[in-house]
Amino acid sequence: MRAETYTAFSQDIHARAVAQRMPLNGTIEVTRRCPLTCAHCYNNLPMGDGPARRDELTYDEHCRILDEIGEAGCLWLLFTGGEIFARKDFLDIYTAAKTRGFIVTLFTNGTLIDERVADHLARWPPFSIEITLYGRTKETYERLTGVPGSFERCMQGIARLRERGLPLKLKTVAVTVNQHEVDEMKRFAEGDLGVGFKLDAMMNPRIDGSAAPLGVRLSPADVVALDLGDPQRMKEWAEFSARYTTPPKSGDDLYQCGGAVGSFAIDPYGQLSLCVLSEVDKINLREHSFRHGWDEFLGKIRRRKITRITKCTACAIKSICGMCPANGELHGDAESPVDFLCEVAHLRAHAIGVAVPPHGTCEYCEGGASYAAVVATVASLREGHGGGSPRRAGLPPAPRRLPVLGSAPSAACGSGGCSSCH
Amino acid sequence: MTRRVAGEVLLIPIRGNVADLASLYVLNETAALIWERIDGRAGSDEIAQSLQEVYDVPGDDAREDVADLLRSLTAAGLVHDAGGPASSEPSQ
Repeated sequence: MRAETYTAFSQDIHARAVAQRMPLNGTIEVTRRCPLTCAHCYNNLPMGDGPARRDELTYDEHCRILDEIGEAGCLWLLFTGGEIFARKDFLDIYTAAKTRGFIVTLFTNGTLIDERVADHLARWPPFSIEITLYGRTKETYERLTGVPGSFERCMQGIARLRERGLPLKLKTVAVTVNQHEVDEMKRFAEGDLGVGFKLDAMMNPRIDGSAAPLGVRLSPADVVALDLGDPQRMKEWAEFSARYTTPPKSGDDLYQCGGAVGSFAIDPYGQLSLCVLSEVDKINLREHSFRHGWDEFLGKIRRRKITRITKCTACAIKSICGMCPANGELHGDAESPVDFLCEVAHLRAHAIGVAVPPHGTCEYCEGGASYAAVVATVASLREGHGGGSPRRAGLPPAPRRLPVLGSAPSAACGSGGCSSCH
Repeated sequence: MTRRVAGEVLLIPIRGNVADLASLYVLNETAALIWERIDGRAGSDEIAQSLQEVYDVPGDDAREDVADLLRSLTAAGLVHDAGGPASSEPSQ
């Protein structure tokens, strides 16, 4: 018998599983209902949405699916929402997963973690539980969530998990509403609580097509300012991009991520897809087995080729860009470049000193209409971060982009860790 | 909890201390067979005998393998002495 750390074991088994196309990583959205009404969220529905609740998979259906995905080789399982604890039977579903030997991570906003929930988690500890903070102050937090009292409930949830020694991590979404409190959130997590912290600034449209989240999305310059505000973050980006400086060899494959190679997502209604953002291609597990969905349906999607050459096709900085077919679909179609992502990637490349070889007509590359703006923006951001003071004049204190715990930096979507990307 | 994933036999702690969850225990085929025989009733000699029924190994080697694994499992807190004659049972 040998004992391994999760990191060593994970790297080893993933390397072997990719070759076998095995669904090691699963994400299950148990509900999209949520007691909060965050402006940036890509999928939340009201708690009282009766039709949504009635259409959600039942406990028995969850158990059948857990059996099927376990049989197929799924080991790491993420439960997310909506808000997972919005389902009154979530602890039953969670325990069913635990007793089947999944390594379970929970994403939650923490506002529904009462003593009963915390005690149950203490008896059946998850591998990790991640709470999203929406601000460090009540005012900011509740300006984003739209729910009075939610800040206090979140703090209470955090305290209950901490009291029981559960493996807690905190994270935030950096948007215009809370940008000025990211530093304080980091200090609270890492300093006051001694837990990990990460952030994501890459907001995308809602999966129902609404562009509402874009109303609070940071500008590309502000996103890269987060990078520049954190030397460790910059170092990670530089190292990451240095390892992936050429377009993938399988450049004509539409999908370049881990979706449907080693990971999958199941929505609250039993629809299987490549990832939580992928709303176009789904198969209903109420009507089909997971094995069929994985082998046949997702296998076929995964083999899709691009239909046209775009500036993304030969782009060498894909590793620091969040563009993917699912993100593309939310903005229009799977292959059309998303301008926001392209601008962020080029600003980031310039900021970390990565040359961008020609890759078609690109306004952000040398000779392009916006190249001068890229250069000027990065110069301005650097100036703002100069002299040992990472602050930009005229703006709130610059938030810092922080290292993603135990992994490479993520350039991907705002869905928060479906494991499909990179 | 035992899982077979990607050709590996894994012991996955599902209850107990959070610290227990920081490691995975990977069993080879022999260890997996021994683990499956640990039920709180079978003694170590009995488990060694069942090992010999599957693998062509001398009795002393089988008993030594069983004893080694039980020591490792006990040290990891994955089994405890069931109180009977040289018997053990899973801790969860």
